[in-house]
Amino acid sequence: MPALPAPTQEQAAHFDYLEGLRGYNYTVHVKGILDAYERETATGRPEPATMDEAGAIIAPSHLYRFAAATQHQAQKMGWAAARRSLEGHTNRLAEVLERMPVEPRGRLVLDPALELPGYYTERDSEGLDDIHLVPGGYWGDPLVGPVYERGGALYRMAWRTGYTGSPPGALVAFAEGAPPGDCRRILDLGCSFGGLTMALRQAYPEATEVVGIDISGAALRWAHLTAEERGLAIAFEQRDATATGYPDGSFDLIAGFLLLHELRAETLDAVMAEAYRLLRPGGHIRFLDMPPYAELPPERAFLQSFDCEGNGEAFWNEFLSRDFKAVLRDSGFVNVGDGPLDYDEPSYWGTAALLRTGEFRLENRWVNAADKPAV
Amino acid sequence: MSSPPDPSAEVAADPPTRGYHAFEDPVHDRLLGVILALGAEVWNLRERLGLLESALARQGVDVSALIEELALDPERAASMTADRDAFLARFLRAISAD
Ligand SMILES: C[S@@+](CC[C@H](N)C(=O)[O-])C[C@H]1O[C@@H](n2cnc3c(N)ncnc32)[C@H](O)[C@@H]1O
Repeated sequence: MPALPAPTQEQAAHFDYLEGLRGYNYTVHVKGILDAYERETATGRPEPATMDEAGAIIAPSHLYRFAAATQHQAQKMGWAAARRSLEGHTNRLAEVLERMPVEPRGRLVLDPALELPGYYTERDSEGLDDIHLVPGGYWGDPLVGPVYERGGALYRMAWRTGYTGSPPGALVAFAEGAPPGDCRRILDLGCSFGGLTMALRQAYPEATEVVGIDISGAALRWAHLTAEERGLAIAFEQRDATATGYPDGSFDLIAGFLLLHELRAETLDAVMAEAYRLLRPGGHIRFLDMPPYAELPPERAFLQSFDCEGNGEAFWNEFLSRDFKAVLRDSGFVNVGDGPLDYDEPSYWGTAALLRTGEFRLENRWVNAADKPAV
Repeated sequence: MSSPPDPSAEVAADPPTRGYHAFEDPVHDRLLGVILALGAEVWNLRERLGLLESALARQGVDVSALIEELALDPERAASMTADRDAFLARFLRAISAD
């Protein structure tokens, strides 16, 4: 990634503090919440069967409220700290973003005329927090790349690594998980800063075309500069995943990371229909996201649901309550399967690092995969 | 460092309460925000002091006496006032910020 201004000692101390605060919140508060829940439900009464029943026990407790409020405040403080660390450098950063590599290995194709969907831009008027509580969401701040590089990394408990540098090997492991076969043309849906796109490029050095699409031009600029700096030949294009404009059967492999939970149900359906159209017969599709609530014990599912209100994730509950495998089948896909990401790295906390990630759990990352019928 | 308070800036008597709050009364979320921000400042100070002492010790300098002396120096008081105001603005922000 292009160099960010080095944080001052004060800023570094602030980031360290926020990571420590989060770590404390998970390891002490969240653990305390779960311990109390276990004591409460061990009293012989029937165990709560649903996340709502579990929530009725957990939500009123002071510890839960403090943990949730701390999480929310730490998140806001993190973005503010990230933004502050860029103040005084914004002109230089804007220049960096404008200056395109002279001999790029890949390309950047922006479409200033692209109409941004309402669910993306109208959160404020709906009285909702911006996505992840980032002022301006993914599209309102031209410096969203640098902001995420710092603040997003902080959110992943890895501010020294940078957002596009984390999670280290998990995305490559996910990318490599596609079944062996012809994977020459690869598409990453909702690529934002290109984390997965770069992992796909690494996992498939033989691929002739690796493309990342997103609707945020500012995010794509950052992705392009980062990939070029790493010498990775990737095309980043500003396109809507519901209507990309590519011809039928353009890709052998289509993937996405953390896109699904950010879409309304009807948008998700449209993206799956489009992905089906774009895959060649026999092509493969795979997504890495959160596990559905149905896969989690009710108290874990309840904690997981914090992000919906507490982290500006408006469609989180809608998506995680849905049977996504059925969505894939209804879109025409076959060999539909899912399960936790098989990635054995003890220090990997799951990337979103919110209330649910009180400890390392494989289930923090969930894979959905399917194929388009061969003919 | 944040800028010092701008006296002409409007601060709502009732800051907006849209968006998430964990406690019934959003004021409690804001108070927690103040405490957490204060904690960040305290941590930074301790960290910086520790770094400073280590740096000086590495140079063979004992600073304790000098610190006592500077604390009462009137010239230093002026720059301290500006720093202090910026500091207060930063950690009291949680009371009024959106
Ligand atoms: C959480 S981010 C994805 C993270 C990314 N895949 C990575 O590897 O770090 C979700 C992205 O989806 C994008 N997005 C939302 N709606 C979209 C749509 N209809 N078409 C394409 N991208 C969309 C957002 O702009 C945002 O960049």
